[in-house]
Amino acid sequence: MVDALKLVLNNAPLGSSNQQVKDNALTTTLKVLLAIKSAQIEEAVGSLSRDDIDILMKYIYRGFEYPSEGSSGHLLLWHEKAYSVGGAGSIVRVLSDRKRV
Amino acid sequence: MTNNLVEHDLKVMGIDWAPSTNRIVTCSVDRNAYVWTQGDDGKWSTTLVLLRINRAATCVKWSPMENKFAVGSGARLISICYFEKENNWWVSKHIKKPIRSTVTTLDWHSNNILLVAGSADFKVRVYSAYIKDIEDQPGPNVWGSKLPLGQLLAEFPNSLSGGGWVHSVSFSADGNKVAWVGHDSSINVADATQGKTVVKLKTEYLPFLGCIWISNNSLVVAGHSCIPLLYTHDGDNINFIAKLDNTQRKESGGLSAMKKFQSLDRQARIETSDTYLDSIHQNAVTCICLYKGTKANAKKFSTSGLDGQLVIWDLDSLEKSIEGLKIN
Repeated sequence: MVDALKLVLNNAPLGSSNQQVKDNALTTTLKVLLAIKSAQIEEAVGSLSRDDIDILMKYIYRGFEYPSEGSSGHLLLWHEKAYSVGGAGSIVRVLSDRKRV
Repeated sequence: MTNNLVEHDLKVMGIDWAPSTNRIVTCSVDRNAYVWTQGDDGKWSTTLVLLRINRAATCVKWSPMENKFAVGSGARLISICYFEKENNWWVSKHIKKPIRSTVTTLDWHSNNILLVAGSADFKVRVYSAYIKDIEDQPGPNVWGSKLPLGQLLAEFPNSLSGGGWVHSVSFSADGNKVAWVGHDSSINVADATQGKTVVKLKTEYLPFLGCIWISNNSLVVAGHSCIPLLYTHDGDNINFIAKLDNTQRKESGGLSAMKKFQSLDRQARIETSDTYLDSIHQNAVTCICLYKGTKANAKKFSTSGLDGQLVIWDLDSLEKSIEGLKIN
């Protein structure tokens, strides 16, 4: 599961101007995020590089935009773990990076 | 307070002091800059500088030899101003290309010719600001060999992900490196002796608003996190060394128990002074300047911020008080 996470983050279509491609990537990434169990989140976050944490943070915030049953609560857990590694800087980059997910 | 220098109509955006010639230059949102000189009676008199800009001026810096200064502006250009003796006034020349947005920050190279500018178009650019009327033709250096006024010698994007206004730039003492901090909370160093490659560190702190070299390898940055931080650059990496402000919030003596109970009773709040930060500055630091020493070997630096405080930091005492800190 952690490998699936690394795969979606490394292949995030940041440079793409095709909204459909981005939406598809978002759906897939959210599926992975919601599938990883709460207990495994910390370990998953620990295995990511700094750049991956930034991309993860971007997907977490995008995920908040489309709430489904229990998704926001789970994403908040992800947010807490990602924040403890990435800090306020990773959140600032969600806002300031022009290449969005 | 000794003097009030009254001339600008709108907010003063930049101020710089030339220590050898004892002149002050100020620039403002009113699209003007003034050079202030002190008479024998201690009073300051002013001369208007024609910047010829149609937007606010944002920042100003004297050149190392103090015979010219650069002004950044919202007009997407830099005005290089020098004194023309024949007409007894300050004249400006413009550097425009290819700046696409407001110039937010400037710094001069120690050779008095090169200028680095950061801008809201997310780029950092190194230019030649050679003014043939007042100085000799410069020889080639690591940044470039052809140096007419306005020549773009290097351009660096702040981030490959695009984005992040550049808040502050600084040339290293030897002039071979340029450091900058951007709104994406990053610290970046470009080295002209290494093919102008850029080393970037994305930090976990809030964005920095000021950066300054304190030795050839060490950098102090400060900004929205309110604490100055020390980093070093070793060619391939930028490494965090230490927080330079480790003050702990003090309890306000015997009243704290009463205050705690009161706030618990009235607001169900356990923390009493939760708006007071654990640091000297209580709000963002907007400016870092060298106070004593040089960029190659700084002894003290000062910071000022949105909390209205001006704080002077002594690097020797900091080195002693922080465990294992060595500033090289």
